[in-house]
Amino acid sequence: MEYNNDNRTPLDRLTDDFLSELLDDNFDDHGENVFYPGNVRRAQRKNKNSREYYRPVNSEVQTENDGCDCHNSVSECGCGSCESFKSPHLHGVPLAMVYSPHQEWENIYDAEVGLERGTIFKCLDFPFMNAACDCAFNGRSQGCSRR
Amino acid sequence: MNDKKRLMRQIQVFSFAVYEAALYLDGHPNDKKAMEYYNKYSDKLAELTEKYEHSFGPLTIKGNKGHAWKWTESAWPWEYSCD
Repeated sequence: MEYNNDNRTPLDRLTDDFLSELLDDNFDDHGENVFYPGNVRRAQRKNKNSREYYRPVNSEVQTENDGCDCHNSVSECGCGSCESFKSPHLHGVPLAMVYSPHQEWENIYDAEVGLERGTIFKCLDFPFMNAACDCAFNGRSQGCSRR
Repeated sequence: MNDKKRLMRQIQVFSFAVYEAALYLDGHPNDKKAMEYYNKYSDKLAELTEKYEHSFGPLTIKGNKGHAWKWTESAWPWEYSCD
């Protein structure tokens, strides 16, 4: 591949030809992934900017949205299959992105109290409790939501 | 607790509140309530700092303005005095 004088962006370099070379290697004549036969099917070539383009499709195609209200199409919704997105607070949000809830100006401590607590915001006052709960000492494992 | 310590403590309390509000405002620049809080405590802080510096000498380099370089005259932070 010629890299000199190639001013294309990385995305533009992923031409269909180049991708064919890359992706076809991993798929046999029946469209099955050679590493995960029966499990992964090659994605249909849609718009290059669609998430669907690169993501392998699970051979058990979901016909419904699995109760997810993420407003994405079935093929683009990755929510239903992951346990981590069954949490009511994280329901429907895409993978691999960091979210931070929006802080409001509320519940402000008196200034003197604020200095003692290390913050003037009650909502940011999280005293250290020597663990989220005492499950570790009782021998229980993860999944405890007790505060 | 004598006057100096009491005043110093109040200055610490207010300057902490000012910094907290400033950090919040960095993320919420148009929040009016936060801005009011910041202004209120900044003013209080300025007033107390002025009062402290008048009696006990400069707290920061800004306190030296208009006089001699006074803050070398009182104890450096690591030179404790028993009081």
